[in-house]
Amino acid sequence: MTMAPLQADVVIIGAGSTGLSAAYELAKAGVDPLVIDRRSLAMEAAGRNPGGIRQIGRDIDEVPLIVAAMRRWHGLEEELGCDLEITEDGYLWAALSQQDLETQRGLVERDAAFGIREYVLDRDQVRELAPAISNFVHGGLYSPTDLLANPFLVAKGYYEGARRYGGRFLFETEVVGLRIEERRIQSVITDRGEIATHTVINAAGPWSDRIGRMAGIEIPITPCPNQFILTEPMPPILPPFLLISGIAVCRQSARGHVYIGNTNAPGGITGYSKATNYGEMVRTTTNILKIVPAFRSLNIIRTWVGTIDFSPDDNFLFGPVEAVEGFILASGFSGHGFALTPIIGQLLCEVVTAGQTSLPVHAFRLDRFRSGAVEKAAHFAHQHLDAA
Amino acid sequence: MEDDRSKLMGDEELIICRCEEITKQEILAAIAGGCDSVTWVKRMTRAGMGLCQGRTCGPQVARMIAQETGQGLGQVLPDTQRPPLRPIPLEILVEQDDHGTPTG
Repeated sequence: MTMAPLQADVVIIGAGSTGLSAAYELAKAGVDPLVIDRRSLAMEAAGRNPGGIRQIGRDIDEVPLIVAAMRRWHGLEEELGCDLEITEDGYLWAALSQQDLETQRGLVERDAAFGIREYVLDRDQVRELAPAISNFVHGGLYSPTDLLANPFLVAKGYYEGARRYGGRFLFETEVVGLRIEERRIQSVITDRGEIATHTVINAAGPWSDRIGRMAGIEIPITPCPNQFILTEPMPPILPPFLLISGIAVCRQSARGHVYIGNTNAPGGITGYSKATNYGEMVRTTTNILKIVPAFRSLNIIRTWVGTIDFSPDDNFLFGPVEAVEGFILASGFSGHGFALTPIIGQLLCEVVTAGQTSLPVHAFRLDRFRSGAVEKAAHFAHQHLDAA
Repeated sequence: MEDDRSKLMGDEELIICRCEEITKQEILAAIAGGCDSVTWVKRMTRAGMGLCQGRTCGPQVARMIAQETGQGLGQVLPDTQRPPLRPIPLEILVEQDDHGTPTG
């Protein structure tokens, strides 16, 4: 057993996308961050997501953040000095009804104000873009400049970047408590010793509620297992990342492998299980083969499950909390976290070093749930495709 | 002790993961970069991500990690085994009605 170092400027709990990006930004800014993870690098959502970086279909409050994140993504390979396999595959958000298309039309103008180029496609235009897509799809919202990146390489890139600037990491180390005196963080207690610090970033994703309870703070997140099916490769027939609300996400990699995800959300299956769920495989496969029948005979070579931390309104939870000085929250990303990686780290660094942020984050404060001003998100869990 | 197999593996361009065509050199570079488990070599190089899911290269990668890092072979963590045990076509999972007719 290694003994934990005794002091750090900032202790970051969780070595996922959020924690790694924050560690990099803080170390680069001359702050001394220490990242603690009960396992290792990118072991949960950061290493189990399909790598999509989507601008379309975001909550209005997230739009300025994704725009800023896109600018960072475009320079990130150069900045981190490594290949992240970033490609501009675009995203197609399928419309399954005329009503879906109307909703999407409304987003085009809204997002254009932020400089996002997206187009509503009719059925023929969808066919032109991806001839393999069936008539179940009425059209869709298409964003040609949305990106893909390799999540493992992104995690490693940030990890190595943080270490180059002196960031420290403690893996296989579990946080067991927080020492708080006079409403101020004094230290983080781990199973390897105690680390004195006045600033803690809670980036523990689906376990951030447990860390919150150590500070007496209720963090309303629901863990939901999201499952992926990976197939053998086939020649490319699906150029964009395909998003079908409540049904599936699907993309074909540059090497031809097909990824099919089940988009499980609150209202569906909850909990931390990492076991492959046969019923969900059947549901997802049945639906996706209606939409892309040409995948029918492809062999499945692997399945895996990751846990998404959903907040009550599908927007993440961010920033200092009133009750405990030095306790900063960044969790509940509800499946949107990977794409926001570069900007969340930057904003966390701004909170720590300047006490304010360069972009509006008021909508993401934890106490929005206390005021009762927030409507619950309409999740699309467990839909079925009924008619063409 | 160097055995005959390691001599055969002297060629850096030798392909270790046949499915994804990952060379010995790429795997050694990943190990040198800190990948000390079969899972992390896979995540960084794609070795073991192909059709056979590491059934061929997994043990060889574990052996290379043991050699390069000085861990005992028994200490090198293998990759997680995930369903399906062998490849199965998507279409056999399609939901069927009471008459065995696919609903898809």
